[in-house]
Amino acid sequence: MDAIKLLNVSKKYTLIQGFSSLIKTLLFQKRQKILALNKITFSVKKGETVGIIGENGSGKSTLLKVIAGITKQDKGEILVDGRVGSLIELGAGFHPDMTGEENIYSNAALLGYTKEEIGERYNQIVDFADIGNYIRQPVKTYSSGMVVRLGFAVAIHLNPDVLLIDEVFSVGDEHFQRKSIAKISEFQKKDKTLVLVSHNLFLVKELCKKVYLLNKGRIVKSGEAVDVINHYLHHYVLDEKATFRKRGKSKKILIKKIEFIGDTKRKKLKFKINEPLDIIVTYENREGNLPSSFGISITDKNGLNLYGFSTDPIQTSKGKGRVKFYISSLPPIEGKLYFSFGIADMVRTIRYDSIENQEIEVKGEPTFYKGIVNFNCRYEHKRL
Amino acid sequence: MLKLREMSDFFSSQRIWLLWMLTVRELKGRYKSSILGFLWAIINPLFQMIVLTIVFSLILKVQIENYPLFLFSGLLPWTYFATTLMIGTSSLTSNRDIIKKVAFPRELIPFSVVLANLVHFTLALIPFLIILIFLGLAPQKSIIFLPLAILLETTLLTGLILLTSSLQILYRDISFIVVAALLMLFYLTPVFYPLSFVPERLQLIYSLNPMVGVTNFFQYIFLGSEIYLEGIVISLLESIIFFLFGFNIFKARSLFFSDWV
Repeated sequence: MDAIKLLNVSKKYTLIQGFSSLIKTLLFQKRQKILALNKITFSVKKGETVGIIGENGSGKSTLLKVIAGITKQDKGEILVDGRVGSLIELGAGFHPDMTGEENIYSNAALLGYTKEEIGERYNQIVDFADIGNYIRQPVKTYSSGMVVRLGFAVAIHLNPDVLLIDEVFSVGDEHFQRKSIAKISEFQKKDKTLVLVSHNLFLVKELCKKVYLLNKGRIVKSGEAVDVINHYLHHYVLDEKATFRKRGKSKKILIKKIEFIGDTKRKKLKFKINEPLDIIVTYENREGNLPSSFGISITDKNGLNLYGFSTDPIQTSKGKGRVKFYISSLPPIEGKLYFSFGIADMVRTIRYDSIENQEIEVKGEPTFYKGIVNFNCRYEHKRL
Repeated sequence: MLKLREMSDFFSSQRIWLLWMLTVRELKGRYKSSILGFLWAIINPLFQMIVLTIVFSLILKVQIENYPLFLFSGLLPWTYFATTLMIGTSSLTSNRDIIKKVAFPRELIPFSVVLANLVHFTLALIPFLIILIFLGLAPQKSIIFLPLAILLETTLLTGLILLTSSLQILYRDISFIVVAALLMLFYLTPVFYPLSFVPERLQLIYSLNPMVGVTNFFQYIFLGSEIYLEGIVISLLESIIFFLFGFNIFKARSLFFSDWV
């Protein structure tokens, strides 16, 4: 049974520059159009959770809006079986001058529920939102976190058959994020259908079996979450992460070569978690006596800065030399790591040369541990 | 044309409840941080009445019986008309938040604007009727037509703002056109002069302004003024045409409101 079915759905947007005025449109008929969705065909089975990923402007949000019925497609057919709920912008329909209680009712009314239906769930909503006595205060007195909590509580407790979620987990504090993700998992177990749009690839991987990748309004890849996410990272995200070189204005010292060396004492680019790593940076000094500082920084595939280190000033002189960095063991992060290197003057204000995003790959034995930082936990066992 | 199914959807209890919630929103939004609140519905026509009475009775010396009451009986429906039309025309753009984020029947927004203003109008009518009773001028037999007159004006307004709001969403000029048109229309409506001042041969053309029939109807109801039936029939026909036309245009365009707003 399909809960959602899209057949050749296309949608154009007309770009309007600035304010549209009657005379302007009458005089200048030409308007720029962009295709937000281009012949999208896919279906979601009842009880399934699918993820939609893609860069900004790839059509993800438009797709959710046509499924939710907020806007209409220009071509194609959409069939949705059951009641649709959407977590598109939490608390969007709230009126600042109405109390939380009044807003619960009016929000639910907007979403298509009757007074009785919302009455039954009112207490659950208030409990989940956890805003205490504020429920009788106007929403304008709420903190942004409270608005989001109340919005989420209303949308999720209305218990729709199909739930559309657009990037809502980036808001709220961590406690609430965990609570809402737990609520979503509970929702999945009840055999409900979910469509999740997110830039948080970890969350998509965690919640979705099937993932669609959108680019310029088309589905460019679909399949198992892991495959599609890897494809996306490889073809879109990592493109921006290409190795590049930034030379400083004063080219007194240049990086000539970078070598990664593992436990085999050989040059390589693939490593294991826990493996020691040596990095050799070969430089050429073209100037003469120069005290310089050598820096190294490591980021993960999402650009998260994991580690940074720089040496005390090293006295270099004209000619070639090398600096060797020793990392005693690689941290428990599977996947790609990006190393950047730089050489600067002794107070690190003038950059001589740098090379960004040298890629290495780390394979792991995840049975040992998970996480980012290795706390080097050991254990012992004793019979008593 | 209107589809039967759409008509029956109109009256589902969920929609009526939603309409009421939107109306409450509209009312709450208008009176945030306002001390006099609902009283404004009567203060405005009251001051207009005072100014117009000074101008026409004391300066221009127009001879009309019970001039202040005559003014008031026309100013109340006029205020209802002008306020609703102005607020209603921009109602879609002022409810941008919910249109962009939630799927619901869009026509309920202009409807809720009309309903909120209808509540005002009714509240303003009460003190006016009390004054009439106090002065021994009411109730006249014609008072039984009051609900009909209100229905007529409400239908006219609904049709008009369905049309103007669905155009205003793309062309903000409509708001300015409406303001300018209201200003002119005020002089072409028998509010501060009786219909009998209009030369007879011009009366039919004059009555093409739908507010002529409406205003005359109210004056007849409150003060027993002479009724001009042709005018009322023209208003009725125009109201029906505006409503059907406005509703169909609105419905066709409403699918794309979230893109335009």
